Amino acid sequence: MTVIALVMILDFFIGDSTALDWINDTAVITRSWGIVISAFAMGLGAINLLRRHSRSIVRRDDNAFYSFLLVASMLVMIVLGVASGTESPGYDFMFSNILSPASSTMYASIAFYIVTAAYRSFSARNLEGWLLLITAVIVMLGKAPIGSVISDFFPVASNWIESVPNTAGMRAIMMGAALGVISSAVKMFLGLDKSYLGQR
Amino acid sequence: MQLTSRDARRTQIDNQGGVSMIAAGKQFSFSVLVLLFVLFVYCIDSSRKGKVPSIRKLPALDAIEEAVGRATEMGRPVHFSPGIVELTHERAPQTLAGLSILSYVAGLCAKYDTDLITTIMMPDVYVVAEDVVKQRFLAEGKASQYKPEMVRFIGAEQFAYAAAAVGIMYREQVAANIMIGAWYAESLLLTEAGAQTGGIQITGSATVAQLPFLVVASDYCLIGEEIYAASAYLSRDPVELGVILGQDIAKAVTIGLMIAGALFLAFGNETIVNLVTM
Repeated sequence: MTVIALVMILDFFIGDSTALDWINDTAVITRSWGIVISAFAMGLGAINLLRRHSRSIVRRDDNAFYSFLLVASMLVMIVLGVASGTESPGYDFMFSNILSPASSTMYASIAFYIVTAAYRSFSARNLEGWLLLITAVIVMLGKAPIGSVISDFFPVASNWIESVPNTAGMRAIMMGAALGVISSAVKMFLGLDKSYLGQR
Repeated sequence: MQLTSRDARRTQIDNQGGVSMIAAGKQFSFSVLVLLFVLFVYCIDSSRKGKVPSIRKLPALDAIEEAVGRATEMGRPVHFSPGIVELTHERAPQTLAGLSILSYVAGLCAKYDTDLITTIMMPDVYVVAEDVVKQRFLAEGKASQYKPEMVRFIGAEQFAYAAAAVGIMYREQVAANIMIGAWYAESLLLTEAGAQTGGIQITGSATVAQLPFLVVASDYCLIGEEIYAASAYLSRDPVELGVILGQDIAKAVTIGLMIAGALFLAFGNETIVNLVTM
């Protein structure tokens, strides 16, 4: 792993030296291996899914009906995709009329979840809660048309909150996280941390 | 004709009219990386020799044992997710940090005989997560308690994953929801589902756009670099703590460089700007 990591790091940094072209070639091959491994992993994932839900159907569990729907949908999409290709009208119909609307529905439901999360967190039980509540009210009024009708203060304050303290905080988190990534990389590079592989 | 990465690099260098081992524009970054490497190795060595640094309390990580304990008392499962990006993604370090914490959570679940449900969106992460959980059950001497259902591959479609994970949390009434990794729009869907089941929620991410959602919707949240410190915090390994010390020194130097850069630029001197863009 250390050798592969070194090759990938050098590939990112090396200049035009012809003598170092082998590094670029090795990096390209390594990335291709990654794609092949991911494809095999997808197969393993599909087997896990089929095994778990087939067992649920055979046992007639409480949610066996949903398992049946999942397995049936999966098999139909696999058969359509393999037999007629992913560009075929049948495959496209299933994708555009079932998966896309279902995904859009899930995405749209976030709006309602934002309201419930905001309701819980804007309880103002302590100083941080009050700060969050006041900031949220200013930003919401700054973004809504009614805010500028009430006072010009709201759009100006809202923009300032977003562009100054919010941006500063986000950048600080990003820089800290970047250093965290490098430190994690060094630990893995030196083989000091294997906890992400389940080893102590 | 499509250019290969090597052709593109050559073209870039031709345009810059220079020849160097390190590509132009990356020399400062490379030097910083080498210096950081040396600093981390020095801190690791110093920590190994007995100068073990202390680490501040991270309530979110302390709460994991409490969350698993509560799930055990209630006889309900723990839900874990290491985020939704694959291992080759630019945000994959967050996934690896999540897998590190999964290892700890799986160890606790094995110790307390608690049911664990790990939902996975990306296939390559599924394979690793399955091995992580299996290894920890084996390490705790509970290999027979491990069930393949503990790690569930859902499918590499963002909202299909979100819908399935939300459904699992409701149906199985999870008592703890632990989500550490890289998240996108689905983060709030998952945390709100966790909140509605009444379980303890511990989240963490370095994806700044999703942090506000995670902070408001969960009981404990690991912010940014904290997720990368989790492994050191949980293991208290002197070597790993040494790396955290190196990271803090690097952070102090970065802050110093930023302040110096701002002051220099205020007086019309672009030395530091030119240095970092080398």
